Amino acid sequence: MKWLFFIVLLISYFEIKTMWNKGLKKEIVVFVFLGIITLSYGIYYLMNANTASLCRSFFNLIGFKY
Amino acid sequence: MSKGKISIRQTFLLFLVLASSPIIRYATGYSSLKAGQAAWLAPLPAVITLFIMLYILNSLFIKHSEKSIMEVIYAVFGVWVGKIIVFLYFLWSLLLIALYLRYDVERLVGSTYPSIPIEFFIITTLLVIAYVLPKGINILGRMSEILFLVIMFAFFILLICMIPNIRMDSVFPVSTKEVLPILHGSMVTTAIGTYIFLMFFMGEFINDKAKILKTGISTVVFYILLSAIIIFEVIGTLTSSVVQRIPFAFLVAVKQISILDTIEKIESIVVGVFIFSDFILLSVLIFVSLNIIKSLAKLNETKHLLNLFLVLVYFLSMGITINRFDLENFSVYFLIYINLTFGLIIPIILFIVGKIREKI
Repeated sequence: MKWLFFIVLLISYFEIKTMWNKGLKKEIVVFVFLGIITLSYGIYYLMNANTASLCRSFFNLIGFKY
Repeated sequence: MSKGKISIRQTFLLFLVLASSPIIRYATGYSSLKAGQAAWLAPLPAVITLFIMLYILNSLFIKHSEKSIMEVIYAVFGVWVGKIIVFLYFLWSLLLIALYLRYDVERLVGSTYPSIPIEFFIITTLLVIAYVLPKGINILGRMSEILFLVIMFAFFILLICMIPNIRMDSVFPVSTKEVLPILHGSMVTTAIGTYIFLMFFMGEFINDKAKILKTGISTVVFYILLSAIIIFEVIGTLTSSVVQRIPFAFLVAVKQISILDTIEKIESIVVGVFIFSDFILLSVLIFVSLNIIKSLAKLNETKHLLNLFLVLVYFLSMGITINRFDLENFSVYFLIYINLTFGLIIPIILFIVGKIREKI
């Protein structure tokens, strides 16, 4: 899981630095929000790598069987 | 990501390139499943629904020629309801990105590279997109002009070579009893055609939107004829009962090609078509998604969101399924209806409400 944090932090560092220099405040907020979603889903996926399936969750949710 | 614009002609060429992959992967199997040996007629009724969509698109852009669909939605439904609808379109595009990326790599692994982990192909595809997309949509527009010729030439060669393998008893006779199955089978062609509507979410990057109807009609006719010919030849070669049971029917049909025992094993051309088409499809969808984020949050630029967004796309495509069967079932039972809802039903509602409120 460490590599996920490493990649996201590396991307975040360079992008936020550039956006800060350009004065893109709103873009930084959206970037952080997107970062939180990416990390949350990434951690969820990595913790359930052999069972995580959005399709399967959707089928279970609506009671669909085939 | 906001550099340059593309012409309406390039937009429709992009559509024809990106639709090539879903047609050969999906339309053949679904149409055969629903319409049997009459499946090759299934794309024809889609002409009507796609013409309706084009007419709606044309009407939307008469008053809003310099805007994108998002701004038209805000104007028609009001800002808050409009933002909710646009957010739903964002979720749709995100779902399509994850699904098509997974399809793309599953197909490569399933057909050509069985021992390579799918992560490798996902990361490679995303790296290429991360390199190309910041250069602007006009680069994709110009690429589409070349790729269209390459892909159509490949189709032309393959379809000509497949003719000797076609058995007429696999595609005929067709009776009037098959009208309803044909209509049912046509849903997949319409569902893929709805990506035209999604492409206009990058409407501010498209010039000459007044020519939507003229260019769109010829594109739709070409798309329908191409789909019908492909389905005809695949079913003619393999029979509909086989096509509906195998995952890469077009690839298998191409494997049957053998001319004078010399021209054989040319299925690598199909793999090339898959790769080019999926690359354009994913690039356009990612561009559209970022454009929707830009509109929802009123951002000045989205170039800096691209890399992080691609990390999210990686996890979504990995987590969307653990096997290909779920993926195929999701497409057959749900994705078509989701596409029709977002690409046809909501635009019709948008058109009716817009006319009533005199906003379009």
